[in-house]
Amino acid sequence: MNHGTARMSRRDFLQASTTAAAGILLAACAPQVEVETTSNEAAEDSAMDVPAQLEAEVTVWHQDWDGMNRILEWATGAFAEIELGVTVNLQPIGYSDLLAKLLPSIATGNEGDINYLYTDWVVATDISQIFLEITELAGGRKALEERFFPAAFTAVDAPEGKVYYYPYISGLSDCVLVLNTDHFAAESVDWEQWDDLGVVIEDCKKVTKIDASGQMTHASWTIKGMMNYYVQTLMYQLGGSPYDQETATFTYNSEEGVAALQFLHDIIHEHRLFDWDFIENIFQDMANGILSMEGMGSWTYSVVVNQYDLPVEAVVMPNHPDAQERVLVPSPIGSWALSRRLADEADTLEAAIAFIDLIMSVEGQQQAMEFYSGSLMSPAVYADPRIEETKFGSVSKKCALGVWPVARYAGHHVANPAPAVREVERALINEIGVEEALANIDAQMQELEDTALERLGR
Amino acid sequence: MEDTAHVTNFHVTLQERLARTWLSRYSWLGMAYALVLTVFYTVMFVVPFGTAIWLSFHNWDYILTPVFVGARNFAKLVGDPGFWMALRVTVLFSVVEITVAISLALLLALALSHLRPVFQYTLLAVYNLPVIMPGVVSVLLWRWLYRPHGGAINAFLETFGLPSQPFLHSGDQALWSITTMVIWIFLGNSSIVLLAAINEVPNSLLEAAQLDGANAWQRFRRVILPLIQPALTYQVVTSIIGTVQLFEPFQLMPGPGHSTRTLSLYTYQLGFEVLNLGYGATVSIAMFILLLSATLFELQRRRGSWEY
Repeated sequence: MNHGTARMSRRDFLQASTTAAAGILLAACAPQVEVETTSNEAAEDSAMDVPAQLEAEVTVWHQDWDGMNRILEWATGAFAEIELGVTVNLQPIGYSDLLAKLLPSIATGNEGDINYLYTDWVVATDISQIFLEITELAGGRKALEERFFPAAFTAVDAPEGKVYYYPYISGLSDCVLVLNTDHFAAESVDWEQWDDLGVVIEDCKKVTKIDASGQMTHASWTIKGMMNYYVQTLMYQLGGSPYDQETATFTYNSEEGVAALQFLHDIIHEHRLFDWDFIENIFQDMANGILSMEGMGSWTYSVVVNQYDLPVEAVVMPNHPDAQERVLVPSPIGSWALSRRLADEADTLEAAIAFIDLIMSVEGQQQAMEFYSGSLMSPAVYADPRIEETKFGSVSKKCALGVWPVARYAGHHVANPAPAVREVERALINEIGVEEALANIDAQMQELEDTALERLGR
Repeated sequence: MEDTAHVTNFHVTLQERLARTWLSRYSWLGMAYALVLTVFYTVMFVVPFGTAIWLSFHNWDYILTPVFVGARNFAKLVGDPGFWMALRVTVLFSVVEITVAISLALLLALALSHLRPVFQYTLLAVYNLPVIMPGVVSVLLWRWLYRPHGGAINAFLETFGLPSQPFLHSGDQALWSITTMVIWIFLGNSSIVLLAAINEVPNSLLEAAQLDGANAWQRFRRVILPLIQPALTYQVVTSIIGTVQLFEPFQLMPGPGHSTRTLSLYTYQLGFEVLNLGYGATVSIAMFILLLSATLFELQRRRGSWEY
């Protein structure tokens, strides 16, 4: 076989040309990101042997938020340069609408060709019945685990280790603390020295301000937001587990669970780092200078910098003082998945994969770092030195590399564990006791788990 | 043979006569309108309602094969603290909202009824603005008013030396904060209905009552109130349905814990968030039964008290 004259497959061509186009566009539009010349060379080589043009229309359902809209507009423009016969139809849909309509649309076959989802949306059903399997299309499970952080594939219980989604981004909610450096520096606090949460609490006490009448005038650290992940994280760190995969049972109400929730309760009621009523809107309160630190994830770093221009730093959440193990439970992963319809539409499938490859290219993902400080899911993006040249690349890298190696997903089948969050809230505002809240969580989560397993026939 | 033919002809004639009578009674155009409405009603109500009943006996998540679970969802409903908490919140909200809103609307309508029509229309148009305003805008506005720091209401309280209130951030205050907003939204609308009814009360009756020595309260209690009963009943029934089904404010400005989780929000969470469609349908059927009972009770209570 003469390799020198072998015809290039359409996919190889698309991969090479999308990379090339990404490089060319980045060179033109984002001067701070240098482009590898090898990408151009690959495109030149491939251009000599161009396969027939694809004729397809690819519909993309994606979450409607500024960052993603910008990424996809860029990707669509880049894609149009290399795939003249493919029309990419972007459909921005708000989070709640997308959550509400994705599965019903899939059931009736009206979903997008490419769909954006969060992994917790699909844990309660059989993902193999929802999306097209991509294990082989993406080069096999091993290749995927090398391409992405392996923990990303434990977020959804997939049959036989198959993969049905491309992990894309995660806000690392509840795994990262974002703090106002001016406020902590004013009290001579060095956040780089935070070895465990005990130290964090003691330092935060210095920042909290309460007036003579006992009214809080400045909160240091709020845990409002997604406390359920805090509880899970602390339970794992203390040697417990909220969910046992073997027996499919929840055990929030355990020694470790009580210690975890009590720890959070103490942050409010014993250490008084914030008053529940005092915190209204975390971003607004940060902007107004009455809150110094929040733990909603590394994604918030870019929000407070872009919108409020605050002097902030992101710190991966330290361990519980009595931690036995380093574990963090990250929030669900924003991912891309393909419609099962595409199994019968070869051209659309090929175009869809090429488009995802463009979004997922190192260049494509680095685009996100200009306005997003959450975590990307590809280690290769962080290994590339150009990440440091993007606006939020270094923050994202620090957080991602601090979280993903110790990340753990419980592996249950409860979609959107809202009930658990509400019970945690009830305990934190003293509406019910800690143990009662944990028992309620167990009961509600178990009910949902059993119902899901019944549907799954397990 | 002739007899048989005669009998047959007689039957044909009878059928034709009956058909003619039937047709003359019900026009084709009327039948066509009725058919369209029946189809519409079937598609928009009967089919979804039937589906909800079917769903309530199944465990389904949109995707996998529905699993028949018998009456398990209904048994679960009885022992579900989440359902009872949501029912309590729903009933509390509805009772307070309807009582306060209709009382205020009645007072407003009574006051407006003494103005010249041009002022009535102008003021009603102003009071009705919140109904025209998109719900999300109202929610955003009230969230701003309710802000614990820098919110307009707390700024007002502080002016008089009163302590700031947490409003939506307190389990005790969140429901009533939302109730206040909902009353504000629908007050103008209720006033229009009641003012129209008050304006329909014949002046001769009021004058006769006045000549008989009835004071203002007595004229209201003995003349106006009985005569606006149909409008009041309509307002109460539509308010019951409206408040029980209300969703947006509870979704967009939730209080802590379950303090503002109503049945409609609970149904949404079960169906769209945790993919428990069967149980969500069961809760929605319970909500329907609640609504039907309350509506029938109200209609029954008011029946016979309408006087003209």
